[in-house]
Order: sequence, then C-alpha cells, then structure tokens
Amino acid sequence: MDGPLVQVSGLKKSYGSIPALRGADLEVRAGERYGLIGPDGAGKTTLLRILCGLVVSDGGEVRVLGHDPVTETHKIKDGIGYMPQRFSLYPDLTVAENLRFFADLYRVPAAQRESRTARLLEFSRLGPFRDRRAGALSGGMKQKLALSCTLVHTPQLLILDEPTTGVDPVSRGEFWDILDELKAEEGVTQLVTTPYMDEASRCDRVQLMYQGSSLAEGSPAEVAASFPGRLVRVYTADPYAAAGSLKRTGKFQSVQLFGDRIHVVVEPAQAAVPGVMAIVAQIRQILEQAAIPFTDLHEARPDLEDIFVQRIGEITND
Amino acid sequence: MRPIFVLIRKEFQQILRDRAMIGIILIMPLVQLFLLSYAVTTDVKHIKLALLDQDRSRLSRQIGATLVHSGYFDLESRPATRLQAGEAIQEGRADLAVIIPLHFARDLETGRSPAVQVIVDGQNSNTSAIALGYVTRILQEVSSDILIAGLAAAAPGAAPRFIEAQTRVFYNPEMESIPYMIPGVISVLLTVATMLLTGMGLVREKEIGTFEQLMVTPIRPGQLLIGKLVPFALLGFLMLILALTVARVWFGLPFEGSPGLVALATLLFLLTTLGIGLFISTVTSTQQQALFIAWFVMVFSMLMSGFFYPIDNMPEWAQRITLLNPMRYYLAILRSVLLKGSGLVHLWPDFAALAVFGVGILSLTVARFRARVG
Repeated sequence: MDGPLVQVSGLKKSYGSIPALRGADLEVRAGERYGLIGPDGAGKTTLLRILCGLVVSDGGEVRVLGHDPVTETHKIKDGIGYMPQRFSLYPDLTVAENLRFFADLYRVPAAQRESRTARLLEFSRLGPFRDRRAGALSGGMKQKLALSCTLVHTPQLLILDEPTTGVDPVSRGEFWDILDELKAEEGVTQLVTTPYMDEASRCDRVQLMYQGSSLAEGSPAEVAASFPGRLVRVYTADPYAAAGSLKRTGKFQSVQLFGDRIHVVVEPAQAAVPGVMAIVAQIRQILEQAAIPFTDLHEARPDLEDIFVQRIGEITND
Repeated sequence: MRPIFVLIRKEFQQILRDRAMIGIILIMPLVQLFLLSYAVTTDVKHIKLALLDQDRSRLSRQIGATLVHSGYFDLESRPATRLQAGEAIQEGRADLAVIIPLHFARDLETGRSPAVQVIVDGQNSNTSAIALGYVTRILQEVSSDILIAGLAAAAPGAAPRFIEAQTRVFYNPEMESIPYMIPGVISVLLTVATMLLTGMGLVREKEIGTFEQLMVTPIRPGQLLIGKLVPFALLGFLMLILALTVARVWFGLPFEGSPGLVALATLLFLLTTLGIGLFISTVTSTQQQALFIAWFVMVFSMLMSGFFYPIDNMPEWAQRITLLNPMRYYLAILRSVLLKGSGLVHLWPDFAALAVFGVGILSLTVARFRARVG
C-alpha cells in the first residue's frame, strides 16, 4: 500500500487511574525498521497491543494498513504478524506442529505452506529441531520459533514486542541477523520495541518513549546528534567515588554513572568558553587530587542512552 | 469451517500428547465406576451385633437365631451383662446391641408385653437407622407369629384374619445400590470432562498467552469457541460410551430405554456443563481459580442432584433449590431410561428443563465471551 503502514496521533490509554499512553504519535513507513525505545512502563507494549486490536484506546487516531484496528480488525489481521513479549506458543506441540497450526489458521494454501515452512526453518536454523516440543527449546530458539510463526502468512508488517528480552547475547545477535535478512530479502516492515540501546542503533528510525509520551524521534544518528553540549567519558575502577568527587565540585551540569564508567555532560556554553580539552584537564586534576585511579578519560560522541538520560533529566527538572 | 477443524485437530494433538490426560480420560471413568459402585453402597450389611440373652428361653434363642441368620448382622460377641453390652458399643466393637431381658418368654405367656432393649451406635445416622429398621422388622415378624399362634390356640378352628403386605420391587428388584449409583457416576464424569476441562483449557490458553496469539489471527471469536467446545463434548460422549459399556458388561446394568434418548439428554446436559465451563473461563485468570470455582459447582451439583441423597428426603427449601440444578434432570432421565425404559412421554418435563438450562446458560456465556474478546 502507499503511504505509511502505521499512523498514530494523540493516542491515549489509561488503566484505571494509571496513564499508559499520554498522546503518543507514531508513523511507520513501508520497508523501514522502526524502533520504540524505552524503559519498562514507557507504554511501548500498550501501543503495540492497540495496533493489533487487542486493546481499545481511550482516544486519538489509529490507522494500521489504512484501517481502524478496532472496527476493521479482520481487514488487518492477514497483513500483520504480532510477536508478544512473552513466549505464546503451545509448549506441548512440536516446532512443526506450531508452524502448521498458525499456517492453517491464516489459511495459507497447502503448497505455499510447505515451501514457506521450509524457508522459515532454514531462516531460523530450527530445521534439526522440527520435531522437538516448543516447551523444550532454549530461550533463543523459542524466540526464533515465535518469529517464524508470526511470519508464516508472509505479513507486510511485523510487530515485535521486546523480542530478545531475556535471551542470551549470542542468540540476540542471531535473532537480529534474521531480522536483517528478512528486511533485505522480503522487505518486511518491522516495528520493534526494545530496552537495549545497541539494538536501537540497528533501526532505521527510532522513537524514545518515556512514561507514555515521546522524548525524541529520528534516525539513531539524528537523535544522538541532537544532544546539547559535549560529553566526557571517564573509565575508573571506583566509579562511585569518582562520581561523588566530581559532583561535589559543582562545576558540571550532569555526572552520570553507567556501570564502570562516568559520563560528564558539558553544557554548550561551557564547552565553547574554556574548550572541551580544558574540561578534560579539569576532570583529570580533580580525580588526581582525590587520589581516584582512572584508566581512561576522553571526550566521546553521545549515544542514544545519553540522550535518554538527558531528556528524562529535562523532564524531571521542569 | 476450516479454522474450527484446525483448532479441534490441535486440541486432540494436545490431549493425545499428554499421557496423564489419556490416563484421566480412560482410567478415571473406570476407577470412579468401580469405587463409587462398590464402596459407596447404601446397602447395609455386616452390622456388628452384640447379643445378650438373659432369658435363655426357647423363644429368646429363636429371636437370637433369627437375627444372626438374617444376613444383615455379624455376631460380634455375646456379652454377659448389660454393662458389657454397653461397653461393646462404647468401644466400637459392636454397632448394635440387642438385650433380651430375664423372664421375657414368661412375661409374654402371662399376657404382659415385655420389651427387648436395642442399643445403637448413632454416629453414622444412616447406617444405624437402617440397622434399627432390620431389628424392628425381625421382632415384628416374631411377635406376629406369636400372635397368630395365640389366636389359633384361643379359638381353635377359626382361621385368623390379618392383612399381609406383599411387596414387590420393580426396576431394581434386589434394591441394590449399584444401578442407582451408576447414572450418578456417569453424570459426574461428564461434568468433569466438559465443565472442568473446558474451563481449565481456556484459562490455560490465557495463562500461557496463546489466547492473545489466537486473537491476532483471522479466526473469529465464534469459531474459536466452537473449536474449544466441540473436542470436550466429543470427549464427554466417549466417556459416556465407555462408562455405559462397563456398566452393562461388568455390572450387568440394564439398558431398558432408547439409546437415542440417552444421547439427546447427554447433548442437552453437555450444553449446560460446557456453558458453565466457558463462564468460569471468563471470570477467572488462572487455572487455580478456575479449578476452585469448578469444584464448588461440582459439589453443589452432586449434593443437590439426588446422587447420594434422594431429593424426596430433602427439606422443602432444599428441594426447590434442586430445581435449579441441571444435573438433577439429567440424573432423573438417565435412571428412568436405563432402569425403567421410560420414554419422552413421561420424561418431557425433564428434557424441557435440561433444554432451557442448556440453551440459556450456553447462549448467555457465549454472548459474554464474545463481548469480552470481540
């Protein structure tokens, strides 16, 4: 179809008194991979469920493949494949039986079903396990089977809700390789949610979501470039002590802990006056005075995670 | 039609995959039939008797022998004193003590009416009432014999006249409890197979998330429903056939009436149980909750159906409640058709009630189900 596959504007949904979506907007174009990025409770799952017609919104416009998912559910079902966050296949049926079941429910003709199943098993490398019960598969294989079942009717639009959460890193990588193959070979439009920033960078466009609304949208590079100011990364064996002593000086707008490293945000105005190099030197001096060892200290390009922290900081400061 | 067939095929794949499930389907009916038919018998036999004969007359010995040979009692002990007889009851060695006092025969001959003391352990009220009934009947028989003999002696030649009740029991001539129990067992089995499995099956799909996965496929709610209900209805009929075959072959249960009527009644009854199962699935979100509600409904249906306690013996208000219990009608039909060979002419009110419940409950819950998922 022409035009965007998904169009959402001003979408609202509350569960009781708890708002899940506060006026969300979304546009997914044909052939792209769109990522909804955000922590738990951002409203990503609710948004996807509304698109599939599983949840009725409280207000706003929704069009999926040009139809209203509530009143015209049956018109969109053949065109979308939805993979929920939780494994939702029959654990007591085998890989082949699950695939056959969903193929038949989607009325895939027998001849097509055979070739499609063969292709999906090849794609997912589940061929050797076709007679194994789904419940006995590993976490990564389960996700690949779930993906295969949502693809069995060759949908235009694939909707994936945190497909790799709880999956080991190797399987995660494999899963995303499959998504890449699908996009390249079949041109399937993909709408994916993920809490992982490295996965977000594999999307064509992303939207950062937080508490039911959008923080930023664009290609991962665009979004990262929208970071105001500069960033200095400090790698240290004792990040807590380092962050503490940097904060105590009161010279930096924002000092954030990221596991074994610290991000020091340098405001645009500050960055221009003494120069980033001077600030790096200043940080070095503070840490040396406090006798806190560090392994590396350099200016860095902000990534999606930095944008996230910065935007959330803006909201909470307001 | 095709999505329905696909769902039914999937349901049977799952049932056949589950060894425990096959066991439940094939073995549970048999175990229940044997257990309930043999163990839960309402025939009272082997009542432990303590007999104290203080009179030691020909008559008292005759009474004692009649009791012992009646087949209902096992002579447990012959206590020497009343105290010992009381102790036998107290300690649970005897269920029943019969004490024939000194001068019993002499008092009778001299025109006084002597009393035989009967002590009964009333813990199990049902058994004790029946045991008491046996003793009373035996004593009455003995005393009427004496009466006749006395009359004959007083007025020789004049034939004594009295009314004797000649009892004949129809439909279950031996008054065994097995023919009475089996229809009850069958209705319970059907309820388990349909109400419980349907309710749990649907809730399980909700629990593991497949229900939502089904909802994004092109299947319609109506098709989904039929696909979930039909397999369990078929299972119910399978269990019915199995149970009736065993009842006929092993227990020699009569099948006087028309199999078609049994099938029709079963179909109507299954509409109800499937409907309740479906209802349970719409009000619960976990299998545990579903099991709990199903269990409550099961116990209510069993107690209020006349399975164990005849409805006629219930207090008026309880009898009215049984009118709301679909199993009551199914049980009545099953008993009448199997044992009496009754036809629709006599059973139509029960059929009508079953039909009203079946169609009513199923259509209400189907509407509720569709409103929730549609």
